[in-house]
Amino acid sequence: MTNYFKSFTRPHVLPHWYQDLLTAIPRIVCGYLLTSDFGSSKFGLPWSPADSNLHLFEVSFWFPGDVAEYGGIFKMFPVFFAWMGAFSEAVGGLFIVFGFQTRLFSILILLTMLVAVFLQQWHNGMWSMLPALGFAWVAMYSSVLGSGRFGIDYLITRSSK
Amino acid sequence: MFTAFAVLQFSCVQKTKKVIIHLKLHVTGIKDIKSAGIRGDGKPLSWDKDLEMKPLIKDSLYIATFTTVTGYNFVECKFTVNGQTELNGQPNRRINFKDRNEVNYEATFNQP
Repeated sequence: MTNYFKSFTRPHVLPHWYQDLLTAIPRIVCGYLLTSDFGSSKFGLPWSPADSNLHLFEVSFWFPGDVAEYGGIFKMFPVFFAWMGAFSEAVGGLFIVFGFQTRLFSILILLTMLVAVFLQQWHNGMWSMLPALGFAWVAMYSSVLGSGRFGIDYLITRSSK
Repeated sequence: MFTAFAVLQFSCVQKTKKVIIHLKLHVTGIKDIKSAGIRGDGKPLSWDKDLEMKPLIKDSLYIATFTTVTGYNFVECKFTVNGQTELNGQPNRRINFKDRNEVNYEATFNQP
């Protein structure tokens, strides 16, 4: 179990440091946007807007209703999926900024963004899909590469094989 | 597992409250007004369709009252006259109601 956890955490390191830097920049920018704005506006974090009246780890009152409209399993468990989606954006964004458990949170963000693209924005046209698509692309490669050199995952796994 | 689901279903969603909002809109410089309304965030408001305001004094003073259920401490909105939305290119109006369940809001059309 411990070995599995370590191998899941350990990032792929690219041959040159600047290659890791170029893959880290989009990850850090997307993580920052998710945790500071997209996520924290509908999930309670210490930096959520005060007027939104969100307590810690609360999901916005309107979000489960929106999620239920996707139908199917989302209609059966709207609060669960709303909470998970908002958590993935707000908390996952913070974790991928620092490159901590990068693969785990990238997968959560990727799943959330795929739902946003195909079930929320699909009928609103390509321009409406672009933000979620952008986050999805970054989460996709981050779920494969992990944090690279520029993240906590690299620091905590580099001494172990 | 089901207990965890049940706890999540009821404990982690922002609490809402019912707020009654009374609006007064002063209009100056526009004659023969056909309609006045308000648009905004959260039901019953919408950015696509007016919530109708009634004339108290034609071409001068319009009123409306609506009830919204929200978790926020504010609602964002703009007024319309004859289908034209005010404050073009400017921020929305913000009606604050922290710790209140009923609020009166008075404004003049196209004046922030």
